[in-house]
Amino acid sequence: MQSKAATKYILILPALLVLAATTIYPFFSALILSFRYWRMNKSPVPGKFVGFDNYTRAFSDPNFWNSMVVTLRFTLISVVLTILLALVMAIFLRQNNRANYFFRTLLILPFAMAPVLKGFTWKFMLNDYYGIYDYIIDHLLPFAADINWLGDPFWAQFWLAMTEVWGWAPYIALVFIGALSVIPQETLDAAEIDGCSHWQKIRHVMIPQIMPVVIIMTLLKTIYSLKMFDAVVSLTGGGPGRATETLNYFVYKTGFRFFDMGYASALAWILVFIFFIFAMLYERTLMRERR
Amino acid sequence: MKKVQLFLISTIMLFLLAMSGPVMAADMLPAALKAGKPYNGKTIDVFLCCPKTGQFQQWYNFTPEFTEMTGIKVNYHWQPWGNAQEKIMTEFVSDTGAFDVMIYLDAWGPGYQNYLEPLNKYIKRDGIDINNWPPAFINGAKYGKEGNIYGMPVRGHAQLLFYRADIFDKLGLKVPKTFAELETVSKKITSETDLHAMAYYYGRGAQAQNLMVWMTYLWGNGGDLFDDNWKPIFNNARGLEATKRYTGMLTDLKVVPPNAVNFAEGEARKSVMQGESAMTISWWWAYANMTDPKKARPEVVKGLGFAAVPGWEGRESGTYALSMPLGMAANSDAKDASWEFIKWISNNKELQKKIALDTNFPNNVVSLNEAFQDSEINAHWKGIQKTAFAGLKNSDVMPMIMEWAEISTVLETSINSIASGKDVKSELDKAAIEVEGIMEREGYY
Repeated sequence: MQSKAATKYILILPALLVLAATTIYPFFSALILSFRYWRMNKSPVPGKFVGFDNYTRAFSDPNFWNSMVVTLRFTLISVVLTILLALVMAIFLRQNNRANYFFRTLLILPFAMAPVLKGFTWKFMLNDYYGIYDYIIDHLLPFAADINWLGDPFWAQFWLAMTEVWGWAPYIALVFIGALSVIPQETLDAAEIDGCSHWQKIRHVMIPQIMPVVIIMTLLKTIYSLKMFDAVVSLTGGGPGRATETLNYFVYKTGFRFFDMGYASALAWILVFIFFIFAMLYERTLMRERR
Repeated sequence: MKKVQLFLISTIMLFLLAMSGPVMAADMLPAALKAGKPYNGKTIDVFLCCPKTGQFQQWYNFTPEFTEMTGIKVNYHWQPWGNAQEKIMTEFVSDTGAFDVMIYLDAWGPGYQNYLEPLNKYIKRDGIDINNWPPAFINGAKYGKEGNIYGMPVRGHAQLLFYRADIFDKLGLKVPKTFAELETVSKKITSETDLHAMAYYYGRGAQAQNLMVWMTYLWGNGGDLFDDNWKPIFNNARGLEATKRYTGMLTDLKVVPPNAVNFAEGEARKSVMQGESAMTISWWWAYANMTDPKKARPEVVKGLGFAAVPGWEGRESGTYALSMPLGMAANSDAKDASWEFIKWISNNKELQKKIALDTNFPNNVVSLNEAFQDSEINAHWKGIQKTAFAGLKNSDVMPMIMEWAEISTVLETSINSIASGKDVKSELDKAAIEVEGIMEREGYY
C-alpha cells in the first residue's frame, strides 16, 4: 500500500519539478523582488531591501491607477458582451442538425487563433485605407466614416474588447451548448404545455438551469480578461495616450522597457492578489456545483 | 669564395623578398586589422536585430572574407527589432555570455554601460581616429561620467524630407526649407490632389518613434528637453510652440492622414510608398526601401526626391540623429577577436562602399565620413549621402541617460495624447511633472 503511494508521487515528480522551476520558483522570486530595489540597467543583481516602498509607490502612481481603471473597464465590457453573445449563439445553435454541427465546428476557430495575431488582424481590418471592417462600417453607417477607430480613446478600448469577444464568445458558446443539451426535456415540455412562449422558455427555464455554468464561465472569462496583454501589444501599443494600457501591459513596460524589476514585481503581485480573489470565487462556485 | 658570397647574398635577398609578402599583406589589411592572424581559430557570437535589413544581411554575406583575413569565425544571432532591447538586457543580466558583440540603439546604450566593454583603450591602441565619424554618431556611443565610448558607429541615420518630386513639379511647388513653407505646400497638396500632404507618425508603443520629428521641431525652435540642472523645460514657451506646430499638422491643418495618430515610422513610410501621402520625414536609410520597385508604387519609385529637413524660420536647422553602435560584452571571453570584428565593420570604408554599391541588397547607409563623401557612392544614390552628411553637422542625439527609456515613454504618450485631441499645454505640463518625478526619484536633484 505504502509502495503504491510512493510510486504515484515518484511518477508525478518530474512534472512537479518542471512546475516548480517554471512557475513556483519565479512566483516566489518575484514576491521577494517586490520588496527590493532593482534596476537591471544599473546592476545585474537585486539591490537593497526597501520594505513596502514599491507597493506604496504603486498606490501613489497615477499610471498604476490608470491601468487599473483601464483593466477593470476592459474586463467589464469584454465579459458582459462575451457572455451575452455566447448565450445568444448557444441558444441558436443548440438544436442538433447538420447545419448546426457545421457552425459549431467553426466556433472553435477564433479561440484557436493566437491572441497576438488577433490584435494584428483587427488592426488591419480597422485601417482607414484598406481595412475591411472600416469599409463596411463606413458604408453602413456614413456618420461613422470619419472616426479613427484606434486613434480615439473610447473606440480603441471598445475594439480591444471586441478582439476578446470575437475570440472567446464562440468557445464559451460551445460550453453553453453542452450545458443546454443536458437540460431535461421534460422541463421544456412542461413549459410548452403551460403555454410559455419561446422567449419565456429561454428566460425562465433554460437560462436558470444553466446559470451555474454561466457563472463559472463568467468568472473564468473575468480572470482571463484581467490579464489582457497580447492584443494590447499588437493592436494599440497601450494608446492612444494610455487609454488601453492594461495593468499587465504596464507591468511588462515597467519590467522590460524601464528595467525597474523591483517595482514591476510589486505591480505583478498586486495583479496576482486580484486574480486570487477571483480564483477563490471560481473555486468555491465550482465546488458548490459539484456538491 | 665569390660563388659562395653570391649564393649567400641571393639567398638572403630571396628570403627578404619572401618575407616582404606577409609584411606587405599586413600593410594591406583593411580597417586596421591585425596581421598574422593572431586570433586564428577563435569564434565570436554576434547579435544583430532586424534580419531583413540589407546592410546587416551584407555583413553576413561578406563575413567569409573577414574569416579568411583573420581566421576568426563568426556566428550570427538574429532578433526582430521589437524584442531586441529585452533580449540583450536579459542576456547581460543572466550573464550567459551568449553574445560577444551586439548591435544596439544608441538610446539603449546608457542602460547597458555596466555590461559593455569600454572601447577607449582599443581605439587608442590601434590608432583609430574617432573624428572619422560624424560627432552625433560618436555622441550616441558615449555614456557615463567618464565619457567612455561603448560602441563603434556602424549604422547611423540623418533625418531627411522625402517628397514626391512629380507632385511638386505638377503643382509648381518648391521644396520647403522652413516649417512655414512646409505648411504652405502641405495645404496646397491636400487641397489640389487626392493625397495627404505629410505622413507624420504620432503612434506610441514603437520605441518612442513619435519623438523623432518632435525633437527636430523642438530643437529647431531653440527649445530642449532639460536645462543644465536636468529640470524638464520641454513645456516652456518654445516647447509649447514647437509641439503645437508639430501636432497641428494633423489636428489643425489636417494635412496628415487621420490614422497617423497610430502610425509608427514604418507606416508613415508605407503611406508614401503606397501613393497615399506626398511627403514624410524619415531616416535616410528609408530611401533605398521607398524606391524599391518590389515595395513601392511605380510613380513613387520614379518620382521620390529627398532634401534636408525644413528648419524653423530665422533659425539654424537642427535635426535629431540616431545611430546604432556595435558594442562588445564586458563578459566576452574573446575580446580581442571581437574588437577585430568591430573594426572590420565600423572602420572599413571599402566594405561600406561595397555594400552601398551592391544592387542585390539595396542599402544607402554608410557611417564613416569618407564614405559619406565618396563620389561613387553618391553617384549611385543620387547624392543622398552628401545631403545626409550636411544634415548631420547640426544634429544631436537624445539624452544619453539611463532613465531615458522611462522618460521617452512619458513623452511619447504625451505626444500621442495630444495628437488624438488632448490639450497641448496640459499634456506637456503633466509630462513635465512626471519626468521631474522620475529624475528626482533617480537622484538627479
